Amino acid sequence: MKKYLLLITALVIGAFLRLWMLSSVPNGLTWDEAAIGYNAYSLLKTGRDEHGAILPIVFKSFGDFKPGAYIYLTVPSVAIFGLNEFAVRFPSALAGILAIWGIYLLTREIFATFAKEHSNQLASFAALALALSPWHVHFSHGAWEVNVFTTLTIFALYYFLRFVKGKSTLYPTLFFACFSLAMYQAAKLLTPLVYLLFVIPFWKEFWYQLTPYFKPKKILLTSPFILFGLWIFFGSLFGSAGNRLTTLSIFNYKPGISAETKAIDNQNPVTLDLFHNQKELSTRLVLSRYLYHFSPEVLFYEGPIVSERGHLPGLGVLNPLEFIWLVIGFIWLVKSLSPGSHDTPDRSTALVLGLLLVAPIPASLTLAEFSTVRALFMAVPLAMISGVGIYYLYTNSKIFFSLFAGVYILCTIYVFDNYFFHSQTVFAKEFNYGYKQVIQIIKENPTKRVVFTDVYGQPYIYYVFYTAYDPATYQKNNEFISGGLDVGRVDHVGNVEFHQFGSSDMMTQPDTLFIGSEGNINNQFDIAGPKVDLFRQIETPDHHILFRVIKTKP
Amino acid sequence: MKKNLPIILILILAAALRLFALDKFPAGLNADEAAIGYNAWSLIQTGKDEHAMSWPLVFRSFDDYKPPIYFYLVVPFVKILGLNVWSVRLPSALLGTATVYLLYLVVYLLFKKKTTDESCHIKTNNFALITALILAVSPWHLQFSRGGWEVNAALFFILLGIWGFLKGLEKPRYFFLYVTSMAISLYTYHSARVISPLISLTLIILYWKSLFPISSLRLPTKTFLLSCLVGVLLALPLASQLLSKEGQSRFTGVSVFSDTGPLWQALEMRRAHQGDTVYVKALHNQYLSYGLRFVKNYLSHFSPRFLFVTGDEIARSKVPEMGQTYLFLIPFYFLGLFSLLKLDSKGKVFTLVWILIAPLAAALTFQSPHALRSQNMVIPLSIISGLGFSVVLNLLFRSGKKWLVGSISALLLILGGYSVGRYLHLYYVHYPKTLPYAWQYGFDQIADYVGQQYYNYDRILISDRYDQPYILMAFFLKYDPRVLQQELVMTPRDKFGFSTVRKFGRMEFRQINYQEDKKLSNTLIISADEPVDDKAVIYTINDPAGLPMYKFVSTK
Repeated sequence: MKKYLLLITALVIGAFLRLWMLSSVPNGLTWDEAAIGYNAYSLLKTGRDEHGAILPIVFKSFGDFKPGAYIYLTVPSVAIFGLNEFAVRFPSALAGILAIWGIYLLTREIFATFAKEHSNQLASFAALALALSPWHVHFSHGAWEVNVFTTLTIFALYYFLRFVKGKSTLYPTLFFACFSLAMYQAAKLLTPLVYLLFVIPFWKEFWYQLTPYFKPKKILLTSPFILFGLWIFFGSLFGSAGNRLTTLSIFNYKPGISAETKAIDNQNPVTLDLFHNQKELSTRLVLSRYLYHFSPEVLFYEGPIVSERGHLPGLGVLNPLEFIWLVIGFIWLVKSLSPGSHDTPDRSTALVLGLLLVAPIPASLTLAEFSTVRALFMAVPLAMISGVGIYYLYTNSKIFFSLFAGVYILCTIYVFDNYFFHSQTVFAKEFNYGYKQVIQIIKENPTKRVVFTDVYGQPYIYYVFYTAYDPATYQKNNEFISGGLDVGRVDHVGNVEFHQFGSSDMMTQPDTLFIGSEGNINNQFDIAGPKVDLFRQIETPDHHILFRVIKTKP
Repeated sequence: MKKNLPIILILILAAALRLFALDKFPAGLNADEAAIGYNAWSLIQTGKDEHAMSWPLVFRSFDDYKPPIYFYLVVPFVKILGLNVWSVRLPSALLGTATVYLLYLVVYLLFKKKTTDESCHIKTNNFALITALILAVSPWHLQFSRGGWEVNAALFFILLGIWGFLKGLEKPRYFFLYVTSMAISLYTYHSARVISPLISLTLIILYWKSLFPISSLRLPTKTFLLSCLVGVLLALPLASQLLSKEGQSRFTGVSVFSDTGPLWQALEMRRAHQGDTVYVKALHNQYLSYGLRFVKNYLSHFSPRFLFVTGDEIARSKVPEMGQTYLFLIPFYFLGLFSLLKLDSKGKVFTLVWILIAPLAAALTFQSPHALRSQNMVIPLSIISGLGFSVVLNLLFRSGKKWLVGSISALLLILGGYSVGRYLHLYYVHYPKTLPYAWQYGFDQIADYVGQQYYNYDRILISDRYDQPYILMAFFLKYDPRVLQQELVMTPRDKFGFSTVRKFGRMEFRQINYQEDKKLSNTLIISADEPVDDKAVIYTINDPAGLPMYKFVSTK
């Protein structure tokens, strides 16, 4: 029991950080979260998604074709907790907690060459580091498919290591791998990469363990997994969902040589071709993308390159003092864990550092703006290295350990105080705060018509989510308008219309609820006018106006 | 001779890259360089600086109190070459070339222990050569070798000091070179005042056993102690300087505490909690706030974005589209770090400690990352990438497969050549055209024109859009220092602690307000980006890209 004390502490702290204020931090729902919630609700009630498809694998949603696994995980959660924020986020939070246990198992297995109590202690520290990782906590506080994917991959790798050591069959690792493929788009690149990374050092053992599976009966048993994996893998590379994948690739970015550069080079064809060509640009883009993932301005403090949604406001994705453990852990990994000469490093080092180097590759190849979302898996090798660092200092110098740990704990409290109490103003803008309050007003003030601005994008999904609109009715009258390669939109749901409007509309249309931004209902509009029945305003915590509501008299 | 051929070739390359068209590139002359040159000239002519101080130990200049060594280094060059761009920049370029040679010597001495060769399979000489080569073409070091940068001279003296120390372990009299050189570095650049003592301390701790062997006081120990005494004596004047008001003013102007952001942030976050309890105060206070800011500043210097992608933000210290080092060296950095950690050598600890202390001085200031103040980082970085490179080459040659050796070396040569070529292209072609303001381009031409027309106007108004125009005019006009010393009136300091001169002779330096200023009689107005009546322009100076940079209007 004492052996597991540290792990249990990590799990308790981790569970607390992931479940506490789950529905109110961040204080709004992203479009995807609302869509996941409503589609799960729709499945629960009717067995079909919002577009009326029966039990789909890939959900059309806004036309962005979401991988379905997370939505299916949300179905039981919605059944138990009802259609609300907590239910949508709960699967991810639960996955976050399981990841702490998973990283313990995986780390213990990676460092299996150690004496048992040592590897156990090291793994417990790694679990603690992941439990306290702000990056991981943040992505457990929201319906992020990538978070569940991370947990699944941890278990897939754990069972893979068990398999090559002959302690487990092939099926669990296959199961988790297929599950992870179904969970997340970028998995199609990352999952094969991490498997490759793990197969190479264990090639002999892997082959030895694999040979028994070539018997016909075993092939029959494994084939469903293989077929399912291949289907997911190739199914989404082609067809409409695949189109989206290729348009998002960084290699599609071909801006050409700017006129400015041409002028500077005096149209000199030699230097223009040599130093300003597409290959050079793409290489530089991909490499710099990749390097940004290791940038202190992404990891330890708030730099200019991260979008607000992917990190803690005012901070990086990790504890600012995490670098202490990381540096110690890295040095020790390199030094002590590779007893041979440098060209034949020990397998544990190769696995941990390899995971760290491989994890940002998929995210480096996408064109979308740099974000920490796609690279969340990095939090796992980082937590392992931190764990090694903590373990090393703990075993070697109790004085320095307590000194660093003291400052680190203070900093951890600072970080989570920041996250739970000071981040609301920033999150309000990033996580579409205000829809819930607006839709509450719609529910309380029934009118003949409702006109709802679509300036913030896809308002319909919040309407159906917060009103728990009957899915059967919705599917029957689905008004989805496809947007081609881009996302589509919905014009109206029942008597609620989603489009822009101006002052003249409000003056002429009686018995209507108008919901708009500051642009739709500007300061010149007379809110005390004779036709106005009700005026309400929804603001962010720092008093930015998000919505204005006008109800006209019948 | 044959043995020395590689290092001679590397030095020729280093010198060529540092000396080629030094007066034209960087295009222009910045205010600090002009101040150095003019004060050196003033010293030669009158024995006093522009503020009429004779042979000062600290130059007041723009009230930023510049350390003296670089001024005195420039004096003989001005004496021989006259007051021009070459004479200001040449000392830095020559010291930069010498730094490449010193790095070769230092790396050899640091890593020469036999264990190196066995555990890492590299020949120390090759490792030192590759490191020197990397420094020779390093964008970071080239940037500050080309221009009258004090920091580059300071780095030379630090490295010379380290070499003196390592030599001193064999021949104790070299310890005097060590202390003198380290002491000189303190008088060369501000950031050396943090770095040099820390490096000295690191050396002493690392080589404690050789310096103080348990068996009685031997001669080397005595010499070392004596030299330390000399060092303390040499550093004494500095201590009094630093404690004086002028010495502190420079630091308070640029220190991390001059930015009140963290303080306000802490106070604001305190307000977000209910009640001002002890816990809230423990979390949100200036100590933690500034502490985190320091951590941020410090870590920012290790940012791959800074090192490999965008480089410094300050136009004077950056080349467009370049990082501080070459992107193609990344795998070698990683491999070098990996191999370094596995080495068993004092050089390993020294390199690692140096890279950790290198950004400390820069992190204490409010702009971070700051390539200028953290320039000494280029040395440990070169050592690390040099090690990575030599490990690769060594593995290659050990493999014994000729086709592999041939193809990989060819590939490395092409990639390296391409990267350096691209950098040079960006430096010589793009830099002057995209960032013409960085080096205050055009003042030589303004001075030419003003020199010809000086007596035709009662008043010459010059825009102060770019830093300290008065010193540039004094420099390029070769204005008589005796007269300037009389006429000089400094303005009160601005919020960063700088002052400037608003007028001397017939020249005035301020923002042009064309509607008002055109009413002045018989005046030459030289505007930068202030709007003037384009029809009235009598003369224009274009920037290297061909766009108008200065417009001359006469009210005659």
